[in-house]
Amino acid sequence: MRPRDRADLVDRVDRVDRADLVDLVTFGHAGLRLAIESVFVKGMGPASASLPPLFDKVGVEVPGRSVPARPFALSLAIPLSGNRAVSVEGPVELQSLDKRAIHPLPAALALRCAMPWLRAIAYDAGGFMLVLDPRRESWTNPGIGSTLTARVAGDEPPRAGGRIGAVPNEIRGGSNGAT
Amino acid sequence: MGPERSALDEALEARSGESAASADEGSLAVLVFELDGEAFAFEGRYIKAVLPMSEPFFVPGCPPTLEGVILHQGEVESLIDISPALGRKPLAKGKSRFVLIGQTAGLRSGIRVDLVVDVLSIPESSLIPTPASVRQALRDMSTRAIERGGGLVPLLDLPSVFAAWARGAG
Repeated sequence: MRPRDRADLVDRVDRVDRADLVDLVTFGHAGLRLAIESVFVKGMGPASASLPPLFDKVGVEVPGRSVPARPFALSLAIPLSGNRAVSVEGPVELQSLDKRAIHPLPAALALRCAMPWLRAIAYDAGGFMLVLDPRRESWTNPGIGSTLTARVAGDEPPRAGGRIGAVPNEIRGGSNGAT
Repeated sequence: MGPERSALDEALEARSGESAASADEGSLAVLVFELDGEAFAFEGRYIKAVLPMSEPFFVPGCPPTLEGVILHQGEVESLIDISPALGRKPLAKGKSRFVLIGQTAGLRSGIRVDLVVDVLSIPESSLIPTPASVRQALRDMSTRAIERGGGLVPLLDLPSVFAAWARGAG
């Protein structure tokens, strides 16, 4: 096989594999593992004291929640709401997760969980992870669990300009396979 | 050349007759379990698996009866406590030993139970109406009971139990 053909093949295989992956920015809070699809994360930096913790915006009670122990500011690009920043608990990492490791919410959670941004649950070698979708609640009306269920089917993610961009140098890269 | 009918053929035919009998239309598979010392039963057709209890992963924003999620055969399953929906107090933590994976047309979830007591195949004709003395919350979900060990065990209708839980009953 000529070098050029080999390179084309490797490129095709890589593209097929990438199609099976979802890029997530992962972080912690109160012992939970959380993730937001990287397409909604513009960047990361040191958090100021005035920055609201993510869970204040998500608006649910988390036992033992407090100001994040190792705070980082995540800059989010949210359709219809623009750019917003929240503080989250580190370590903040970029992970590419196999689509098969990301599960729709079980029906019982879809019915009765009042966490507005909760979109899916992932399971990888590190255990369970809550996948949040900032499109699921109006940013200007956060925290009212009973007003959730803003359906996002058909919503378009931000264009390439809102993509993770500045983050890779700041977020520690990581990759984790499916179970 | 061997015989046209062997002992194996006869043995298997005899067993197939057995399974036909056990699958008789008039019989009902039921699973008997305990919640805080009281026995209940579900029809076996609604129970897809019985698992040893495992600590669920906590999900914020859920009511206390939705205890989190567990992983079963690569799928994420919710874990619920149905006791309040039955008009009982919530199950004590750390006492339950099993999870039933229940599935109806509308909902599928893990159900925490203290014990799995028995799996029975009983004639439908042996079911008796749930006594009027049973509390109302339970009568809404159980119209029939089975006799076991000299007492009556309410046969719960899992779709009704799930519906009550989804309404936030209890």
